[in-house]
Amino acid sequence: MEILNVQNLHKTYGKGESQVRALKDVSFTMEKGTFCAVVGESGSGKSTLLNCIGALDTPTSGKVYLDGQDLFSMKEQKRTVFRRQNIGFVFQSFQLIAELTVEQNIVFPLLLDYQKPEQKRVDEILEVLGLSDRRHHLPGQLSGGQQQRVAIGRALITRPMLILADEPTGNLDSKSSRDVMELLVKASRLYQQTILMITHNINLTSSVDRVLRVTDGILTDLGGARE
Amino acid sequence: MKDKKMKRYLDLIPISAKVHRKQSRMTLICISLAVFLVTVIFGMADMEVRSQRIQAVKDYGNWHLMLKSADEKEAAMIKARPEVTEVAWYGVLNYRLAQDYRIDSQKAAVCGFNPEFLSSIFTELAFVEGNFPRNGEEAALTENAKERLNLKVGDSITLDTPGGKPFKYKISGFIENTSMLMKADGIGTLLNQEAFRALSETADETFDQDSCYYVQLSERCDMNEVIADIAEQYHWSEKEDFAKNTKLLATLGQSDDSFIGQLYTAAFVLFLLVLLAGILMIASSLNSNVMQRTEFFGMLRCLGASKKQIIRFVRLEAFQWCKWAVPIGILPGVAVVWVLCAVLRFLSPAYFAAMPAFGVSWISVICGAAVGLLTVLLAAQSPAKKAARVSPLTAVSGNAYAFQKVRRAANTRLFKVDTALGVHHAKASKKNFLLMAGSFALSIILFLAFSAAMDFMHHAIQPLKPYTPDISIVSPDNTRSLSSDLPGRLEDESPAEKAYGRMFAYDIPAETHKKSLKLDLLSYEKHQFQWAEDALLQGSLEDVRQKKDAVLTVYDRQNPLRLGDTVTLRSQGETKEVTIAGILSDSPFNREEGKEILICSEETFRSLQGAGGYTIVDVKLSDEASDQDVNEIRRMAGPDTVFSDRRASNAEAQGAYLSLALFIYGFLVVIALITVFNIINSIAMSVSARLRQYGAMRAIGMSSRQLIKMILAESATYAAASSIIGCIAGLPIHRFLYENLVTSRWGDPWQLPLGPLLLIMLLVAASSAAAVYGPAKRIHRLSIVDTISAQ
Repeated sequence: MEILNVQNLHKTYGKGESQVRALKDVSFTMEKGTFCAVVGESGSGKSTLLNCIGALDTPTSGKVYLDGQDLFSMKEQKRTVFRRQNIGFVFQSFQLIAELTVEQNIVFPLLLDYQKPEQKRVDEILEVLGLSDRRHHLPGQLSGGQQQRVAIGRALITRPMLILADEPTGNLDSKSSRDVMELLVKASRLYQQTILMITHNINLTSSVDRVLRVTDGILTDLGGARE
Repeated sequence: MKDKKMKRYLDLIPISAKVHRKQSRMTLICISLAVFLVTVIFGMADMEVRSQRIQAVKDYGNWHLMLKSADEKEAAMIKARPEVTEVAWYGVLNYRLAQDYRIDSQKAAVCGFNPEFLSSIFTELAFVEGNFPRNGEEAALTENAKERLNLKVGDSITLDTPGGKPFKYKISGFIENTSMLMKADGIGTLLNQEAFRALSETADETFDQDSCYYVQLSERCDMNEVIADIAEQYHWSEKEDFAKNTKLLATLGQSDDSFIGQLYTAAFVLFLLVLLAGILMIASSLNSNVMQRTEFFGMLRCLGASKKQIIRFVRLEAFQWCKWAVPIGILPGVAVVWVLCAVLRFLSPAYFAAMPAFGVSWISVICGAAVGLLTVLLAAQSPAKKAARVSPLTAVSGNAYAFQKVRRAANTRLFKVDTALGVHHAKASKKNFLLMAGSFALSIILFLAFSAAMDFMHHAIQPLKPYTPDISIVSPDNTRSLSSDLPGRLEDESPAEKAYGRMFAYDIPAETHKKSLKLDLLSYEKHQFQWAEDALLQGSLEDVRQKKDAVLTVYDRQNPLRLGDTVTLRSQGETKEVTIAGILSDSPFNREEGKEILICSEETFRSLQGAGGYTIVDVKLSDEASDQDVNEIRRMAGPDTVFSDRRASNAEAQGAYLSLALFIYGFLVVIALITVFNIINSIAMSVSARLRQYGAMRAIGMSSRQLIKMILAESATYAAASSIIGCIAGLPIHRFLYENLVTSRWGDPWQLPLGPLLLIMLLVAASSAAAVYGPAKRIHRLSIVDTISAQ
């Protein structure tokens, strides 16, 4: 079942001589439950691609359909709510809210929808993340690896159609990087979660279903990595 | 554009200021606001003292001590003292115009003095024509005599005295009118000492006669000490032998009067509060960007900057802010004071002509600059100390910013998450919370404190009421001898804008609820009924106008008359009943103990008291009315009336009220404006400091509406806390000031200042809500990608 459909995406920054074409006619689709990695050099346009798919940035032209819905035909407020409910984000710098505990950070997207979190689901995620004993800790009291696990938990809580992870191991040591990757793979298998991950570390692509490469704004499908 | 070369690490300061332009601008605004507040309040206070000094000199003269018992020898001894700058003799005969001193049948008061009296003591009293009398055969007259008696310089006049002996003088000149003489309709006759002595020798001892010496002291000496020393040396006691010019001494800060002392205490408390508000505003503004600065200084430490270098950097940066912020605060502060002085001169040109048009209050400029410089330099130390505490590793990893200070999680159970985070942001740093709420609370405290000064003003000086006349024509012995058609004729044939008469009947015996009482009955016509509308507490003015037995009374706690009461009047052998159809809160007439005032229509008055004319006719003049017009009105009133020209005394009263009202309302407006700007700027700074955090929240799905709700919750938390602190601290301060300024003098007990309290709290609440508007617009434009990639 097709979850994501990206059609003829272009993104240009600046004007005249200083114009930079970050994305050039990018098109691809993703099936439900796929774990896909986007690799590329620094400045190749992979983060721009992720930001456009996640509606954090607006493309110059082209369409992004998530579960058949055109993201950029929605109004700002509706798009924010749609994004909150259907796209989970994992950032390189974690982006946790310092004033909230581990548990509060995880349920944060639900709280933004003024929903009461289902305690069983929260406990289950904390268990999967291995953070049950740290649920009342503040982010400042956790290691980098643990903080990134909290960010993954936050992305999983709404059961989103798509998780976008931007260099999720970029700020972590090798042991924590391994842990985080294992967790993302586990989530992909356990919850049939569709994940699009950006990385410049080619070694991390060994455990994903499909690899895409971005070079100078052009996307190439490198096919399956695990097969 | 060519970049400037960096020659030393301190050159980073202007570069950093350019990059963080918005942040720097908000800090600048905050420092400027604090400097402006101090400059303008201190400047206004300084100008108010100067205006009071001008009024005191104008009303009472430029003297400090008046000697009643001194003889010529003693006066000469006192004049020889080094602290004494002038001693001038002054004598007066018939000051109250009660005796038969007359010039061509006009009542006359006679004063005697030497030229130095005019050059040093009553400098405001100037000759409009001619000179001071040079010998015993000359006299100068007040200007009103010129037209009234058709006189000119060089003419001869005869002063008839009650003793019967006439005195002939040649007119040497004309001097300005005084308000007292104009009100009492008399002519002032000025003689030199020789002529006055010759005249007073013929006067009976029982006559209204007085002489004294006015002493002017050097402003550099301790006046009270000098006065006490003189009193001790000559064994003189205050009131009996000498008097002080209390008002002038008060404006010079030289009064030992206990009430003036209380006024000074109140002023000291008020200005301490203003200073504190300025200091808190700056400290809170600098503290609010501490987090970002800590990260920046931490980074500098990482790159090898020593603690000392960081402190030098911070000091210089703060100094750079002051370089602009202090003049930006001082200049409009000085300009506002200029505008207020100009307004005062415009509203009361005759009275405040001596106010400096572009006077600078140096004390306010120095205080403003000192508050700005010292507070900024002191408050800026804090980031440097914090930076020294941050480990280089934490600073360089960027975590110094992200996880600073959070010790307790937000309470998401009590509030929705956006509200909970807003409240938590406000309370996250105790120091920041106290400084922000404290600076808002000080606005409330300041407003309440200055509103006590407003109460003082309302007690001390009354503004002119719409019914205050410029001229009053009174029938002799308060009979009803003024013609009923006089007001109509005055309105038609003279420049009188309004003329209105009243009939009076005094001490009428009456009875109500079987209790006897005494009444003064008076009549109103259409103008007076119209002015009474605002004062109507109960009942109907229409009934009083229309019904023949309906009357008004004036509210007083002691007044037994209530709405609907029937009062039986016994007058001219008849008994007549009237009904109280309305109660007024106030009237232009003073209530005498045990005697109530009844007001009725002219028709009712005549039906109760019989036919007759007016007792008094008041006239309001148009702005263009001249002295000639007044003389025309005097002629129309006829010779057998008491004529009172109140224009000068009205101008004095109006001038005194305007000066105090302008400055006190000015204080309140400045405080209110500062409150609004300070709140808006502080919230904007707080938002600016958290902008990256907001970007992250937007990235993980928070809508701009939720972000705005969060900022609103933060700003509401500050507003609520500041309202509580403001009330807890402000009300006792208001009480203290009220008791010092009002209760101690007029005895009114302190009451909760509900009006000002509600007004300022509403202003704080409205400003806190409005403060979200700017950040909301910024958040709307916020690029999520830019904010999160900045990390």
